[in-house]
Amino acid sequence: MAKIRLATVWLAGCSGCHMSFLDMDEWLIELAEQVEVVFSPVGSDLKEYPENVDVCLVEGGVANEENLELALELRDRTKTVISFGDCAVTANVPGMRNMLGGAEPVLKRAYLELGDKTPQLPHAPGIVPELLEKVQPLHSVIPVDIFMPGCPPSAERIRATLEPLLRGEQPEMVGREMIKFG
Amino acid sequence: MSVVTLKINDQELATETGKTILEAAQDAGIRIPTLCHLDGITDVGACRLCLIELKGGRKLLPACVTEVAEGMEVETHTEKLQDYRRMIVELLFSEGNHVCAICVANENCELQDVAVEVGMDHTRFRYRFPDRHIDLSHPQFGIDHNRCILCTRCVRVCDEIEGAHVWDVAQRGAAEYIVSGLSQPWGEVDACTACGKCVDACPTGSIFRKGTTTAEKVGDRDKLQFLVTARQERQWTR
Amino acid sequence: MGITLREIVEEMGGGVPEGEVKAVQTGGPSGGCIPASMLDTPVDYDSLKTVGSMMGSGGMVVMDTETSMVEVAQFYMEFCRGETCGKCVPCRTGTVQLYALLSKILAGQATEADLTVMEDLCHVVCETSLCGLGMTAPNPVLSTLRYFKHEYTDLLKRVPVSANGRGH
Repeated sequence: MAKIRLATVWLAGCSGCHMSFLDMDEWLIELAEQVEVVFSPVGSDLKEYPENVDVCLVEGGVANEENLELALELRDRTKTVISFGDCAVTANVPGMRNMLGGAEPVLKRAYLELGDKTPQLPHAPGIVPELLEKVQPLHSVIPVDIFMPGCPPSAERIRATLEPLLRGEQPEMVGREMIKFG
Repeated sequence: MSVVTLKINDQELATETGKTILEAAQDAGIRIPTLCHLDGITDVGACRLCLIELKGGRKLLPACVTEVAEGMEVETHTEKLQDYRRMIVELLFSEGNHVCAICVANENCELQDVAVEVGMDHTRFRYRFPDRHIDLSHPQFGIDHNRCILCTRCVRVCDEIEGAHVWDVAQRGAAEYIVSGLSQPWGEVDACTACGKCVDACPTGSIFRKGTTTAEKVGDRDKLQFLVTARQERQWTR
Repeated sequence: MGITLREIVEEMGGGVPEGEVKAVQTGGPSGGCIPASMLDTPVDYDSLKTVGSMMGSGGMVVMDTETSMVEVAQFYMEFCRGETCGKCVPCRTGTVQLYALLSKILAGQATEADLTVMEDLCHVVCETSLCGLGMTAPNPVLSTLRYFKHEYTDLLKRVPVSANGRGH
């Protein structure tokens, strides 16, 4: 049987979910034997999201144009998309900028009002991705197959979600151990 | 005391007249999810989580305000009720700004618990991200309206147990919020005795003690029931 | 009481100035929209209820073929969203979300999944709200979904289906 093609993606999040992924410690070795890591900020150095991915863990909310582009691209090329952690599921902490009312007030606050030296708005078309008006949870922009809340989800929760998938089964996302937020 | 017999989820029960379905279920060890209910204060039937199905009844009924009656047949966990409860919790999460990760009540939050209980792993609704304020004018406590689910427990506990009536409800619908005094900052409300009962009554991290940080708030909900029993039955120890 | 909608609209009211009748909304904002094909429904409590509307205030709004039924539903939901007192959760937040979903549909941004959620939410608001306002607030949506569903589906986002059978 061909190995499962696994990807992990890091959108607007703090990378804590990926750190938690690494906390799976020695089970990572077992995982590495069963899957081929085809795209991941902590497991490969590819810049292009590949075709025919079986499972993708997506950390982070959708905050800028690059996030949105990658989300659409990965949905197109992946069988099972997992919202990985609270930022992907709820927009969480990155989403707190939404209360300020849009991209412009956020940028002004961060780069002009709080800019100590040479305050200016970042502007580098094609290099710095533009902020979206609101940070959105992943399932607001693409259909998501599995939701794994947690800030971050514990290593145990990540493992309990991945193990059934490796056997070709669906994980059961119920109970405190699997779906508690925060 | 006269006895009433009824069935809850096919379990035969005997209870007292005047009890609510919620109380009868609790006595029998059957858990019905609630958010606005709090032992010791008046029920308002507002959160709609405790809705149950009554055999032969046309409507769903809130268990917290429906009294038991002879021969009642109650279902508390049908598939429909579970689906409806989940959707109501989804609505609550999309209404306010509930960021568990940075909340004082993380790990000790009734909203968070009820989400797990009804199996809510995400909300299907668009988050509103409302612009709500935080009042830190009180020397000991704070209220963060972002985390408020408008259960009005604070309003009732302050009015009924403390007798101060510092809190009330202002505005309506989506604009509704909990207001202190005559729409004054909490710290300027003379009626507040700083007893902290609203802190204990709050199911989320909305009302908290200053100085508590992430996951440090533990509401002492039993204290309120204790106070009521103490006054009514003169039992001063717990 | 008991005469048909057709008699009221076409004979007594003289019909619509140009074009044809498309639907009649009865009973005020919590009532439902009755399609032209059912104009022979007698105006009484039971008959109106059977077709998904109500006597309510007794008011009637007659709409011609130019009217978008989704816009009508949104209009009434905007009213209910403003009227809800906010005491119970399903009515307070449900009307807000129903309005948001209707707006999303009208903006051409909604998917089949949104439509399903909206329909489910209508039932939750109807069956779990504390008072009559919430119990009837989704009626304009439910009745237009019942008789004019294609107007909703026509507005859904065309979803490109990718190789793995999923759209986005």
